[in-house]
Amino acid sequence: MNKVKSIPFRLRQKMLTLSREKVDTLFLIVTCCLVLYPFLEHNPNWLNAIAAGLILGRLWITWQGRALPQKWQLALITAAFSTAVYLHFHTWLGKEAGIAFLIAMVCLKMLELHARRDAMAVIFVCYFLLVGQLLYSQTLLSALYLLFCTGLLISVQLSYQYHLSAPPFSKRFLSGFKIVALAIPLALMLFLFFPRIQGPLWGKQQGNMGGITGLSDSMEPGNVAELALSEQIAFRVRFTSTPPAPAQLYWRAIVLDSFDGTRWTASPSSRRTHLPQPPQGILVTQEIFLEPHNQSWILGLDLPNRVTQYNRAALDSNSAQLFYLTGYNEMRSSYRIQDRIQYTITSNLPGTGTKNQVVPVPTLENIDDQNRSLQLPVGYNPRTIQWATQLSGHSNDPVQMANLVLQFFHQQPFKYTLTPDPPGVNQVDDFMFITQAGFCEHYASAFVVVMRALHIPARVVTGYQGGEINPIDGLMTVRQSDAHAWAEIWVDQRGWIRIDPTAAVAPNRVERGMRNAFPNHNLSSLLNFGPQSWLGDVARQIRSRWDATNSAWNLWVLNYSIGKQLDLLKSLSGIEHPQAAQLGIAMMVGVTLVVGILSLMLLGKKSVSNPLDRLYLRFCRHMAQQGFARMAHEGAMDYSTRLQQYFPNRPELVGFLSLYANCKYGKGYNSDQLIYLKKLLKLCFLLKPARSNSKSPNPLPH
Amino acid sequence: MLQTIKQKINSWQTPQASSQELILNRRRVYIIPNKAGLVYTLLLLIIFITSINYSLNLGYALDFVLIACGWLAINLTFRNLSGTGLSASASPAVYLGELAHFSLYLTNRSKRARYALHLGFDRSAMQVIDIPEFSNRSVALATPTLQRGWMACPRIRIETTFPYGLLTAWSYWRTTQRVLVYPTPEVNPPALPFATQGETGSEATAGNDEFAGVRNFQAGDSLKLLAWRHMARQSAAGLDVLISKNFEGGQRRICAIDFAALPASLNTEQKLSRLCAWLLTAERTQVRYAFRLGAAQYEQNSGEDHLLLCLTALALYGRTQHE
Repeated sequence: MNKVKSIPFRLRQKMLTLSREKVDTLFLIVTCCLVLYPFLEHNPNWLNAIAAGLILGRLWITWQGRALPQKWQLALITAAFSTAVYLHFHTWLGKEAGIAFLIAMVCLKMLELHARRDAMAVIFVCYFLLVGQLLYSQTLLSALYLLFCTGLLISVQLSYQYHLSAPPFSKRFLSGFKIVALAIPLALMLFLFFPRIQGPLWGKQQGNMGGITGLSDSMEPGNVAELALSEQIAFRVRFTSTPPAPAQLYWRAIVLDSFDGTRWTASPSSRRTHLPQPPQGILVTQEIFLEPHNQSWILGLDLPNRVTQYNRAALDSNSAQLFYLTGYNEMRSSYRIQDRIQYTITSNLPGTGTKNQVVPVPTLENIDDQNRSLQLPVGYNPRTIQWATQLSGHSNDPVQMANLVLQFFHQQPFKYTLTPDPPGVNQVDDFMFITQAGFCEHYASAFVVVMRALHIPARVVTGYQGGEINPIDGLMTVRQSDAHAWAEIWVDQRGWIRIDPTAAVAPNRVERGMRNAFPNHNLSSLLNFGPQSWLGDVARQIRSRWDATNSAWNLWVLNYSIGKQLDLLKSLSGIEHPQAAQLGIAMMVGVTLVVGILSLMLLGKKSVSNPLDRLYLRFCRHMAQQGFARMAHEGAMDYSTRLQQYFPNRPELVGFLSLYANCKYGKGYNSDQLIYLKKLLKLCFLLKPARSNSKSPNPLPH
Repeated sequence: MLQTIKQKINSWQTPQASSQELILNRRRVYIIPNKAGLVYTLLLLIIFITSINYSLNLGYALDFVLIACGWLAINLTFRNLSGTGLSASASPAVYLGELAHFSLYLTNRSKRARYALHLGFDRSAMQVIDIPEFSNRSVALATPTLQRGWMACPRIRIETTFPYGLLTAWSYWRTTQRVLVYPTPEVNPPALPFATQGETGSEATAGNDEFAGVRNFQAGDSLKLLAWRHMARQSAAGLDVLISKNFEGGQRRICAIDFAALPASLNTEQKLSRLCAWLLTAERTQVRYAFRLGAAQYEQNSGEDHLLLCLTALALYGRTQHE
C-alpha cells in the first residue's frame, strides 16, 4: 500500500512531522549548501567530494534522528582535512587554501550543532564565505545571488532565536529578506559615501584573475582563433563624436616583431617611452572601459596619440606615469590590469581633416629597429622565402609588393577558417602552399614573413577589430571574439602602414565584423536565430539590454571608486574640489537621515497606544459629545450601567463595553475581536439618546 | 561628574521599587552587544579589511548591508523588550527556608508578539516566555528565603536577545510586593505546653466561658467550628455523624504558647522556631491555644485566622514593620 505513495509525497509527510529544531537544522544545512555552491567550480574535486560527503552525512543524521559524531571523530576528520589542504595547496594561508579551510569549518561545525552558539558559528563563517564568493565573481548575477544568500543566512539566524513558540516556517523564511530590504537604504548610504581606501593593504593581491581570456603577449597559430569563440567582453567604448566606420575600427594592442618560426613575440626594446605622434588626420577621442586582462597594455584605436587615465590624478601622484605610449605606438601600462579601468584615448585616424598640416617625415629610429623588423628565423620556411625572391623582381615600392602578396591571397583558393589543419615545422610554407586555410594570425604571420623576405621592414600587430554599438546605452562593445592580428610595413617617407591581409581573403571580417564572417562558428549563433527572424531580433535586444545592464553595473558598482564618489559629492553639493573628509561628512548626514527615518518607523509610538484603548477613547469621545461623558472614576462596566439608563435596550452599546472590558482585563485579545469591536463602535456612533431623557443635557449619576 | 555617573549606574542597577504597572521604555531598557555580537563586529571588520585588500567593491557592499543589519538588530532587540508592561503580585507567606514566590504579569500592548523574554531574579536561572500580541502572561518566580520577616521582592531582571542573538537588551525592575516569611518550624519539637502547666485560674475560666459558647453551636469539641456547622446544616445525616464524633473525642485540651516560658538556653530564633512548630501542631491536632510573644498577646482561640495572627507575630518579632 505504501508503495502507491510517491516519494515526494512521503517526503512532504515527513517534513510536516519534523520538529521545529529539525526544520531549523535542515534550513541551516540547505542555506550552507547554497552558500557553498558557487565554490564548486573553483575547488579541487577532492574538496568538493569531502564537503558533499559531510553535508549528506549531516542531512542523514537529522533525517534519521541519529546522534552527532563524537568529539574525537571530528578531531580526526579535521586533522586529516588540514593535512590534505596543505598537501594540495602547499600552504595554509592564501585565498584558495583559506577558502578550503572555511568550507571545511562550515561542514565540520554542522556536525557539531549542539547549542545555539554552534549554529551562530556556522552562520558567521558563511557570512565570511560570501566574501570568498566575491573573490571569484562580482557580476550582477553573483551579486543578486549573494543578496539572496545573505537574506537566507539572516533568516536562519533569526530562526534559531525562538525559544518556545515560533511563527510558521514561511514567515521565518521571509523574515531575513525583510530585514535585508530594511538594511539596504542604510547600506546604500554607506556604499555611496564611505570614503574608499585604496587597497591592497599588504602584498600584491591577485583578485579574481582565474580563467581570464584575452590576447596574450605572444602569437602562435591558433591562439587568436581560440578567442574567436569567446563571447566575453574585452572592453567598451564611448565615442565623444560619431564612431568611425567599421573598417577603421582597429583596436591596437601590441606589436610583435620577433619570430622564431612558430611564435611571434614582442622585443623588449619596444617598451621604450616615446613622444606621441603629432596629431594628423581625423582625431577621434574614445573613453574606454577595459575589462581586466592581466596584461600590461591597454587598447585604443590605431594610431593612438594621447592617453589619459580617468580622474585618478588627484589621488595617485604618479598616475601620469601609469600609461605611456611606446615607440611602437603601443599603449603600455606600468602595471598589470587587474581591475576594470577607465581611460581616455585620442587617436589619429587616416582622413582629410588636418592633412594640410606639415607632418615631419618619419624615419626608422635606428638600425636596431630596422634589423629587428627584417629578421627571420634561419632555416624556416624555405619555400616562402624562395617564392618571395621570385616576387622581388616586380617592383621596388613596398606598397606595390604588399599588394602583390595580397593578390596572391585573393587569387589562390585561400580559406578563412577557425579550424585549419595543424601546420608542420614550416608553418608559413604549409599555410601558403599546402593548406591555404587559416585565421587572421596565419595571414598576418605569413604576410610579414614574405615582406621581410623581400627586405621590407614588417611586423605583426595584435588587437581587436570591429565592435558593436549597444543601442541601449550607446556604448560600443568589443568582445574577445573580435580579436584580430594584422601587419604593418615600413614605407619610407610615410612610416608604418597598416595592411590587413585577412581583408584580402575575407573582406566581410573587416567590413562587417566577426559575427558576419562566421555566422555559424560563433557561440552566439545559438542565440542568433538568423539575422532576419524576429526571434533573432528579440534575442539581440535581450543581449543588448543585458550587456548594457552589465556595463552600468561595472561602471557604477564595481568601479565605484573614490574618484566617482567625489564626483557624486560634487554634483550633489556643488563643492568645487571635494575632499575625502567632506565625503565623510556627507556619509554622516546620509546615515543620520536614514537612521532617523527608519528608527521612527520601527520604534514609533505605535507600540505604546494600543488599538483597543483607541477604540474605547473614540467611544468615550462620542458619548461625551452626546452629553454623557465618562466620569474619571468610572470603569467600563459602571459606565455601561449608567449609559443603559439613557440608551435602553441597545445591544451594541452593552456589547461594545463588555467586550472591551473582556479584552482589556482578560487574558488578551486578537485581531478578530478588534474588528468586531470596530463594527460595534460604528453602530454605537449611530446611537441617539432615548426621548424621555434627552432633555437633560448633562446627566449625572444618581 | 563622576558622582553623577555613579549615581546613574546605581539607579540603573537598582531602580526604585514601584507598586504600579511599569511600562518599559527608553529610560529603563539598556542594550549592549553580547559575546556573539562582539564576534559579529569582528567579522564585519575582517570583511571590511578583506574588501580593502582585494579592492572588492561588492565586499564593501556586503559589509555595509551586514552593518545595517547589525544596526537594525539594535532597534529590533530594543523593540522586543521596550513597551512591555510589568506588574507583580506576591504569593502567601512561606516558612523560612522555603522558596518565596512572586507572580509577574507581563502585558504586551503592541501588535507584535514578543518572543524569548528571559525573566528571573538571577541571571543563572532565567525563565523564558513569549507574549503574543495584545496579550498578558504571568510568570511565577521563586527565590529562596534567608530570614524571617517581610521579604521584599528582589530585583527582577528581564532580558532578551531576540531576534538576532547579537545584542542583549535588559531592564531591572523592583516591585513593592513582599512576602512574609515565618520562622522555620522546629523539627521534632517537645510536646505542646498545656494550660495545666501554666496554672492561671482566670485563664481557665475564660477558656470555659468560650467553651460554653461553642457548645451552643452543638459542635462539641471540634475546633473547626464553621466547617462542621456547614456540614450539619446541609444534611441530616451529616448532623448525626458530627454529633457522635464530638462525643467521642470529648477530651478538651487547652494550652498556652508563650515565648517567655521557653528555656533560656535557646536563642531567639530557636525559640521562635519552637513556637512556630507548636502553633502548627496545635492547629493540626485541633487544640485551642493562647499565644504570648512580646506585644502580641492573643487569648485562647483556634482556627486559621488565629494561626495567621500568631505566625505573623512570630515572623515580625523584633523586626520593624517597614522591613
